[in-house]
Amino acid sequence: MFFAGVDIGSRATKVVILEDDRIISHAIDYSGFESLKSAYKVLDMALDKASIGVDLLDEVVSTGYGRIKLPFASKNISDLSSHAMGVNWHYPQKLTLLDIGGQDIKAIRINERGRLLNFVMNDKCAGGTGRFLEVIADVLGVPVDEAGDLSLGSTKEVSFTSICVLFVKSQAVTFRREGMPVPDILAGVFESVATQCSNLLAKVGYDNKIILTGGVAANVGVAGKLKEKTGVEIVIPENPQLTGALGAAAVARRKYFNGKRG
Amino acid sequence: MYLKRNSQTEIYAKISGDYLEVVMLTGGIDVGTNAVKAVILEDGKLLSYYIGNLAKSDEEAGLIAMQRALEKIENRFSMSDIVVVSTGTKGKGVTFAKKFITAPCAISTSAHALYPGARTVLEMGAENTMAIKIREDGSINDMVYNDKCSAGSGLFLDYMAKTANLTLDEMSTVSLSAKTVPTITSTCVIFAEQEVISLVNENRDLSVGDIVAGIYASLAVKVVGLLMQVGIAGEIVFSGGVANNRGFIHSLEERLDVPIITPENPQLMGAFGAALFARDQA
Repeated sequence: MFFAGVDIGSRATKVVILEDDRIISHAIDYSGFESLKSAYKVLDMALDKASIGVDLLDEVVSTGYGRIKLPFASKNISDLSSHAMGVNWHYPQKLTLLDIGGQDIKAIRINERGRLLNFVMNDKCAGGTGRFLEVIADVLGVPVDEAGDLSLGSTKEVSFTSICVLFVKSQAVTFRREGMPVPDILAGVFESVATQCSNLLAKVGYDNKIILTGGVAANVGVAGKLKEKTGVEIVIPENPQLTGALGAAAVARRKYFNGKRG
Repeated sequence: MYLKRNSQTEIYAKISGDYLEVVMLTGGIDVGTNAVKAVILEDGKLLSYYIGNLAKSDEEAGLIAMQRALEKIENRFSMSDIVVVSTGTKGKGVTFAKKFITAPCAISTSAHALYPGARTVLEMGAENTMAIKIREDGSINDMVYNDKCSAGSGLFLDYMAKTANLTLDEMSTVSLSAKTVPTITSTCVIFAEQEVISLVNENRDLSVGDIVAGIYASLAVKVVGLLMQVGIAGEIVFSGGVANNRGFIHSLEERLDVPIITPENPQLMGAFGAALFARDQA
């Protein structure tokens, strides 16, 4: 049995394909303006990698920003549900997850079956989001996926007075002009992101570990600062950006078997 | 012609006609986030000023600005003849100044000196916005600051200008021709930009002027909110670089019952206030 989950994010479209209870392929592409086109494209990429045709899919569930109606999906679930189920796939226990996406940050508390217990989100301020990191990395002339590693070379604490993208960008430029090394600036920026996130996390509570998901999870600098700030283990699932798509695929699988039973 | 009475003091004697007048030279240096401003006053009257870019250090920026201001008056005096007080977000770095005063202190000093009847001052620099309530004697009664969110600051306008590919002046001019003012619902500058781009792409009825008016309205609402926190009493003295923006002032006026007064060089209010302060201090 084959199941697919399609996650249309604000910055990227992701697809995960399951065969029974194994992940057999996944694909990702950066969403242009046309989400539907992107969804088809990424689904094809994943099907190709799995060497199966679209007609072999038993159930497809979609999720993501804007809740676009995909004609080939039998159901659309919320971002929250798909993330929760995606994390639950690898960690079937009660826990808290932090999803740092392109434009928002969510702190989610789930039970051992992946059901939502509590949730808080910041989607009014771009501070700390993937977009924020892109702007800062750009102004410092650093590729955004290298920023995390670079920050580990920091030797001096730098603090920023705000989490606002534009203020931080301006301060970073000033620090640079004054000769401050880029790793130190980056470490300071990630420290601010960690503070922003820990405020959100405090509202839902957490145990001895926090699962970090979303595109920014790959940033070791942010993960490191988060660990310092919260004092707990920060766990990054494999392919954190695929969490939503994986969760949607898991729901597709569950729906299929529930349907069979009924 | 000027004679120095005593090389240890900053007091000059000026010969005008048959009389010997004692004058006092004071200087103010305001190091902000985008620019450095220097003014030289003779007995509290503006003699020279300079507005320039920041340098590698705040000290250097202050020094160069003061030197340029002196050059404009043919180096009639030297730096050591002037009592200098510094101010601004980065004014503390100007170590050769006799004293450092905070921006609110400097701005309330100059606002009160120019408009003794004013009780409310709005300062919008490159990044910081503040609303100051002042007393009859010019001292600060209350103050509210916005330095956490760029949506209420001059940066919002800079960012939108870049997005629209217009200069700040062009934006100001075109906004005055607006017929309708669309509402921008996002608070964050980054999200507001996306909203503006959508408006441009999806709404063919809106002119560039309309959209800019919408952008100004968005900022004006936040600024008025800040002013309400200190309370608006009588006319508002508008200081800082953003006060040069006629289009934005118009947008603000539409939301207020009181007039907005803009001094001739609103960007110099900090430095001017610091120089006035120097006069009272010596």
